[in-house]
Amino acid sequence: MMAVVIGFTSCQKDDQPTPAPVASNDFLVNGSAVGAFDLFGFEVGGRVPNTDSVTNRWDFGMRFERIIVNSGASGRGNAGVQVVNQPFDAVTVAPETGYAFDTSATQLAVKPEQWYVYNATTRSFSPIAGRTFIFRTANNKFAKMEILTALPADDNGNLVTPPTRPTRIKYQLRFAFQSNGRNF
Amino acid sequence: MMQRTRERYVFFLLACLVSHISFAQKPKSDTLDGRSDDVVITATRTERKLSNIAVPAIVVGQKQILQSGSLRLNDILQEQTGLFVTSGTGSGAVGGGVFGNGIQLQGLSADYTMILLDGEPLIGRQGGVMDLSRFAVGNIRKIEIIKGPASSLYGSEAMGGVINIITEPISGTQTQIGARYGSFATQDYHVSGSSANEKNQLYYFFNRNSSAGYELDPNTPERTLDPFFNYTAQLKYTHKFNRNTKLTWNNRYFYGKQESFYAINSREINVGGHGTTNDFTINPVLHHQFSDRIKNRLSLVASGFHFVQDLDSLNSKANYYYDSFRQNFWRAENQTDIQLGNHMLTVGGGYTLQSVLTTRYREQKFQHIWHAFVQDEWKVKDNLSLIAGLRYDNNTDFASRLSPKFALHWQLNDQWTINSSIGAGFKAPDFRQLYLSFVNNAADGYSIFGASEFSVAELQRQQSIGLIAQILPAAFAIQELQPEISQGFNFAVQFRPKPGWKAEVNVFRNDINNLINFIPVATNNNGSSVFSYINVNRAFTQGIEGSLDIKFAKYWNLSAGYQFLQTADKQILGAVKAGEVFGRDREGAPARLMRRSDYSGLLNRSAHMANARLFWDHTPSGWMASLRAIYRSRWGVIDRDGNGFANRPDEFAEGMIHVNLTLTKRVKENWMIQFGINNLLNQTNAMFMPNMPGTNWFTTVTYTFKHKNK
Repeated sequence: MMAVVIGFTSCQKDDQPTPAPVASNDFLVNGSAVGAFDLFGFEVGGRVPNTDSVTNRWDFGMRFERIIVNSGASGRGNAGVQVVNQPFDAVTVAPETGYAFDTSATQLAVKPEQWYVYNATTRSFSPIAGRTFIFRTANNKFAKMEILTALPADDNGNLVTPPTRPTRIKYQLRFAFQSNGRNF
Repeated sequence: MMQRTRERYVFFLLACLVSHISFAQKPKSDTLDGRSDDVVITATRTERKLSNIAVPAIVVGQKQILQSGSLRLNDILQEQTGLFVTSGTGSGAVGGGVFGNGIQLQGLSADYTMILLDGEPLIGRQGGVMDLSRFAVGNIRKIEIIKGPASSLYGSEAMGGVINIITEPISGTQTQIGARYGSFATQDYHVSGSSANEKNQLYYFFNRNSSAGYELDPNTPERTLDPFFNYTAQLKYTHKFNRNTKLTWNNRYFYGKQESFYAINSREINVGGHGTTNDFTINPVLHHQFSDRIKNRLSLVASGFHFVQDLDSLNSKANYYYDSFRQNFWRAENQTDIQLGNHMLTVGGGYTLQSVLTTRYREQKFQHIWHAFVQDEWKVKDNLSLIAGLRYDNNTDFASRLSPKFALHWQLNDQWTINSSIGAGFKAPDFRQLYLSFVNNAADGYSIFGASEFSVAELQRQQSIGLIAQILPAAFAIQELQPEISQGFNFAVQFRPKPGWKAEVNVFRNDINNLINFIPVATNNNGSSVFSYINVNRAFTQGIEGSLDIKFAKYWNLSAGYQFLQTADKQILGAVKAGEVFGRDREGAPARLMRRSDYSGLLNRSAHMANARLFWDHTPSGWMASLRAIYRSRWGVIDRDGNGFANRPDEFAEGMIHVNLTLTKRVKENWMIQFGINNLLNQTNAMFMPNMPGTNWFTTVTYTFKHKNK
């Protein structure tokens, strides 16, 4: 499966000099450790309804602090991801290889320690500054993304502070989608 | 009769010192704290004049404690140069402590300072922190603070320094009663007294301390400090068998109870109960002098500490949380001091048995520790002494440790003295790091196992039955924990231009290796992690501190102190220098490369700390006054952008200055009336300095009855 995917990737045409527009988006996701993932598609530029979960419209999903990608055990797409220690702006080209996939429900492409630290004192988690996600999307396009904030919120997206228990996590995302090639 | 007894006692002390004093250039006439506090025992485990020891030391005398109106140990320690009483966030070398008021010394957190009561270690650390407010100061004669590592004499924990609380009885026969009332319904009562004849001395101290607590943040349903009360009782008995043999039997008991109420996932208090602390120490010490040149000290300690927190849901009355921590400590130790020409040899050894039983460990755990130490203090010349020491600690549950130390004391002339020392410190892995066996069912089911409880074989067994999804490579790196170790260097110059004047500058550096941290070792089948402990981190603390004591205009005394401190986690600093670390200037801002100047060091450390204390003691009228100011610059409290340090405004607590004022009047021989206001500027920080209330006042009345000699 892996070999097929990588082989397929390398057949892509790339290095087209079309700049990828940078967008920001608030993404409100399920704040509990169980239940459905909320889905995000780069081509759409935002949320993808869960009714589309067996399509290639979504690229990654989030639930609380867990991230899945649309591949392997999680979806029917070809999405893969790698997390690099480089600021968003410094990532100018998506690598051809090196993408990880959701091989099983417990072996997900994104490991927690790659992108956040948990603070036991505040019981909050902080996205690590300078970590950039580079996605190969479900449809074999490329995108890069930075998680700017992860804040506890209620169902309407209003931020909450203790003792109010958050039902959602409000992520602020910055991303660029390249529909043509690997350059950003 | 009394007079003669006292003379004998003084003679006894002098006999111990005689060899030493005969080499000293000439006896120094100091100090500011009165002659009785002139002697320091903690630095070398033998009695030495403060002006003759080779390591940075502070001696806080009874008079200063009294003039400052202190009640608990944290009150007086927080006013000393280079000491910071931590409260609040996190634990371990890179945190402060969630459990009460610990002390930070030379930038090392509370876990790394040894606290002694009359030379014997105190137990009852929770999360590594010894809560200093457990100790009343009414029975303290003086506090000795030795800075820098001293594991060559004291073993584990003596990494940042040693604080020795000395509770010697007041000579003579007297009874004292005292009462205090103050803000937050703070009440403190004590009765103490001593009685002595030619052969026997008895000292007793009884204290009750209580407070209604206080609220610093009305927006939270919980009170910042919940109401509490506690009792301290001490009984100390000394018997002189003859001129050469003396037995001191010291007993201490503490009982404390504090309400605790929480709003769990609610805007209103819905969980409540009590935390209860019981601790005791029984400590007989036999002193024997074989000859003018050989004296011996045999000490036995039995102590226990038991803390229980029991919380119920206020609605359903069902138990919400129960935690019990019981620690017992037994030690036998012998020390012999031998004078051999210009060498003062100190040789000792002992055996320690410790047990701990908590709701979070599988079973009661026992630790056996053997230790032996030797120290040679060599008077090379009248004005130059060299000290070399070595201690060996052998423990059943972690790797053994050898701790050397070298020190130099060089008196250039009557005014200038140089002290320098280099030594090793270590801290044994604490109980959690060895024995914790904790599965968090409330959260997502993560679990933590101490290094002694952990085995790869067990993980593999759990993997075979499907409980564990994946064993991480890190699991194979878990091995017998090494003690956390440090090398400390101190270089101090002292200047004493005239009696009552003293200036001192000390430069220090501590390199700490093998810091213990927990790391994920496996993934459960539900995706949560299994953690265990490993020696990974390296850090340093370095700085310069200065202090100044000036006695002027007969009744006035000014002292001031300053410490500049730099700290770093060496891995993080290395990554910053390599350009691999990023940060955000505010929440949600794009990541930016962190430079060396953005790196603020370990959390909970202030770069600048200063204090100034002005004492006025007008003996003719019986009036005394003290005005004290303590400053600390901003300190990092939290990491919000995942880079492991504070680099933006909302990651720091603002600097603060505390001003305390005390006014005391002695009436005749017997009465003392005191009035004080603490935190005059009302500087508070509910989140990061919850142990510091706003402006508060107190008034104390003490009556001392001096019995006539028989």
